[in-house]
Amino acid sequence: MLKNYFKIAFRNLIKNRSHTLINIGGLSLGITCAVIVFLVIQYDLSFDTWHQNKDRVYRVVRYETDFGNEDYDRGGPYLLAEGIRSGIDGVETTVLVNTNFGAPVFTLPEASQTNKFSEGNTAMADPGYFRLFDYRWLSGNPDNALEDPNTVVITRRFANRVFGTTDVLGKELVMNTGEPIDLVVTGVVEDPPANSDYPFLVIGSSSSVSRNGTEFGIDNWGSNSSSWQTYVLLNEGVTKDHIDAQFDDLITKHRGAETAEVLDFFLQPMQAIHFDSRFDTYNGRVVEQQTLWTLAIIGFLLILAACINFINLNTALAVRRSKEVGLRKTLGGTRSQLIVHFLSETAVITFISLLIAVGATEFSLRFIEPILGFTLPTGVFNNTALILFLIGVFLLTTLMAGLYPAYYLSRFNPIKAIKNNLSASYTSGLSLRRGLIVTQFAITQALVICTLIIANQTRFFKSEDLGIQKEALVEVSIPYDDKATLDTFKQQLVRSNSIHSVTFSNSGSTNGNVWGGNYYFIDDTLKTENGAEVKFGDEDYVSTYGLTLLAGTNYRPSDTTNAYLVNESFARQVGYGDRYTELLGKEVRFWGKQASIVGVVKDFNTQSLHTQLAPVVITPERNYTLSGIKINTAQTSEAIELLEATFNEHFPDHVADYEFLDERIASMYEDEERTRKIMNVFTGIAILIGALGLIGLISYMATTKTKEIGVRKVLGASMGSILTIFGKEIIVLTSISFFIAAPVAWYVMNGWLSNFAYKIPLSPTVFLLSFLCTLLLAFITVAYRSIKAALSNPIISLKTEQ
Amino acid sequence: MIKLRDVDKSIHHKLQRTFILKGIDLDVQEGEFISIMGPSGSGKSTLLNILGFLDGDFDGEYHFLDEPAHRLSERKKTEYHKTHIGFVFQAYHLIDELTVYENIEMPLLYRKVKGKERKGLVADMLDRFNLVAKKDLFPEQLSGGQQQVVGVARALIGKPKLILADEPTGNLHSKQSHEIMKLFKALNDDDGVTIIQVTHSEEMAAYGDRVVHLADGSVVEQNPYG
Repeated sequence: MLKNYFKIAFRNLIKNRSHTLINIGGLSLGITCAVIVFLVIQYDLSFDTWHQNKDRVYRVVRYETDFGNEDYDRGGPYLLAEGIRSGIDGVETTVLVNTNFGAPVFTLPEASQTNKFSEGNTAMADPGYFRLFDYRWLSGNPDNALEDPNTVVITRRFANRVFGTTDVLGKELVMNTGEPIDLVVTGVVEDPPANSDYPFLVIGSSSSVSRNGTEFGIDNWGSNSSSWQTYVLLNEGVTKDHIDAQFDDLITKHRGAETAEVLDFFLQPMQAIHFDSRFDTYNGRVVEQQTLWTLAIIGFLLILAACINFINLNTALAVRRSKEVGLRKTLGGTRSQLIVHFLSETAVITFISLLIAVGATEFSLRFIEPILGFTLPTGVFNNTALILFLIGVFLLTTLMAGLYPAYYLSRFNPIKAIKNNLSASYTSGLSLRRGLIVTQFAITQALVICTLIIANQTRFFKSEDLGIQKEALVEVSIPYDDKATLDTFKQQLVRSNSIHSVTFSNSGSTNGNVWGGNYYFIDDTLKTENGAEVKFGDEDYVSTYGLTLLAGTNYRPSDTTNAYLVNESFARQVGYGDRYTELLGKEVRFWGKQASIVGVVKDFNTQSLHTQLAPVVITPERNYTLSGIKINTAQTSEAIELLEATFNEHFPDHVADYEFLDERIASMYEDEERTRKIMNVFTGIAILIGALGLIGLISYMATTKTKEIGVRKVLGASMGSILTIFGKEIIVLTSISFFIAAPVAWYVMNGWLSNFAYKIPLSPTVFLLSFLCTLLLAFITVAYRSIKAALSNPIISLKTEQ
Repeated sequence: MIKLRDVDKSIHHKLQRTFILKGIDLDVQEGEFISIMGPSGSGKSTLLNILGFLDGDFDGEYHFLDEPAHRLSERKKTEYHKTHIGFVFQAYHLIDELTVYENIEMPLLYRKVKGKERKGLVADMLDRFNLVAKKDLFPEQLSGGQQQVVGVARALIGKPKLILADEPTGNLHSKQSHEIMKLFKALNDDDGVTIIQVTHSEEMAAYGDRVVHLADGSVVEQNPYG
């Protein structure tokens, strides 16, 4: 029986070639998207799921209410781990992971060695690290590898890079941070897989780090750093709440009751780390579950759109098959047998589409992966979940696309069907078909609106004036702040024509790395305490970053620590509005140092445009970690060469790790850029599927209306008036779908934009534009077929009518 | 076998009730070969549809094999389609996508006849109607007469007790028509299959045992054994 069904199904598919192609084309596009979405979701859900103790591992994170601002951070004080060990009950192992080294340079101890290996994935961790995180060990003992000071565990990749072999147990390494650290390799592990949020290639014992104050704030409960993260392994049966409840006492003990009011620690489950955008991960990628849901919904909508094509075409074509239905019923076919028959035809189409989709996925991944920014695991047959997913998609699609047409076709009255005598209302099902087209148009339009808004927002991010001059500016990390070294470094550089100016600062102008604190503004009448960001910059800071002075002057080299520059927001915060000149000479006390304001600069964005402008205090306090270099764009390569040479001369144990400021700022919007590109792809496909469906439907409409068109033409209708028959329908359907799509898109995009401090307004232009685009696309799609119908010779079309 | 008592069939159209059939009484014995004649619109086809359970929307009584067919469930009607009744149509109504072999086989599929038995039955049919050489052809590759032969073969494969034929020779030329009628006659004589055909042709009607004349939805003349 089934064999018979499939045989007939194939013959029917070949007979209605063009419709088969439209159906298969649309479905395979939709399924391809769904498969890619599935792979992405599967990949994100697979992060760090192999650690044996994963259900008991937590990261201790910090929550602070700072002048009404809620501040979440993944790091805490260096001393937190020790504090937990001695003061919190229920924890089996506590591990501090210290990444406060940037990308340290490793060298071999032999003097003759000149090779330098910079490695950004470096951490110093407490001995329990390997109790919490599972690695595949090539050599060494996970239980005590980090027990002693000056030990290190490295991965296969790093071992091969430095030593050329993985057989390196007992070999020595020097880690060049502020103070060189000698390390002995006590273990070699397999590289962490791509789906791990702990991409470390070098893990040293944290007891190797000197505690004698070389690292700023290391022995202070008050200083926090996101580079100091604390992980805990709880005892069996201990809950997160049990631990969270104890942090208040710990904070009170070390920071006092007042701080305990505004500061809190709590546990973040390891399983949640990949999905909580309040906190970052070591590899910099966090995916909100909401994002995954959105992806899943888009994938489903695309399959739905393809199924709608299928339903529309098949119910429209039903008339052609009515005779067959009638006959089969007369010959004893029951309704359920007919439904199974038609479903099996759908199953054939779905199956072919599925095969094409699997091939198309493999093919398109190489174009999708650069957009996603990560590599997905390949292979269908070793991925059980994917196979199950494909089976699910097959069943769902077959039912979604096939059930209604099957139900509809099998309903025909056999006598009327055999005589091809089905009344118009019986076969047209126009309202349903219109409803489906509206649904499909609504999906397309909503995606078009979202894509346009996302594109506008990303363009806005890149073009918006930040109040600085980010072009032709190179930044390089300074390993340590030594006045004599930095002075000669600067002099050597500015002597060249290729370099305009050089400045040293703690964090440049616009940077993810934000320093801040409380200041007292000392006025004749008031003495207020407020929070501000602080920039440590030398006398060339303002000119190099292109800040605009609104009042007063820049500080001179001789001012050293006796001067402050503030920005507009600062002036507003202390109640001076735009009366900048009155602010000059007023005293400010910041971090214990009191000095007067010498100038006011125009506001500039110290962080990405996701964040609001903040009050900023600029002072020549020495704590420089970054050099900003304005270069002559006509001589870029000379400038870079000179920079590298000069850097190596002064900091021989380090690598000049330079970046162009405009590129780094652009990279702050990588997430949005990625969203934009993914949306482009999805919207393109939705449009394609919609267009395919429209072509099919219009060609059907044209066939059924041949007689009507013939009669109208004989009666003197012009071509224009005949095109109106088709055009009116499309305008009406597009309009209705627009009124469904617009509010949904508005709601979703309003939510998305609320993530950003600086955003484009949701103007009606975008909505109108997407409406017109969809309309235009629909017209282009149907133009050929309807013009052909309008041009057809009425004599022929009327003659062929029986 | 068939007993119709006071069967009315009407359609409502804007408060008006138009009768297609009115007060039909008809008795058909098993093994009869009956021709129904009458002008266009006299309700011949409608009557045939009622007899074949294709149209259940009528008033009056219809007893099929002493069962009240007017009260039969949908399931039971389909059951009768499958096991007792074969249809032959004026326009043959073969399925274009199926070969001769598959067209004949189709009713067996709906009866869930096992593969081997099915093959045997279809082979018998092909043999009997000299269709073996044409079994892999599609309907459009056959002449009208040949298509109707396939149609008859398809109607017969389920070994029906009753064949309902709606102008089976209406689309055929004379020589083909006589061949089909001879076929019917032989089925009636040799296999005892009851046949009810609708026809416009006196010549074709003459193959039957008796003729029922319809006019304006009523039986005007029955000539049993005439």
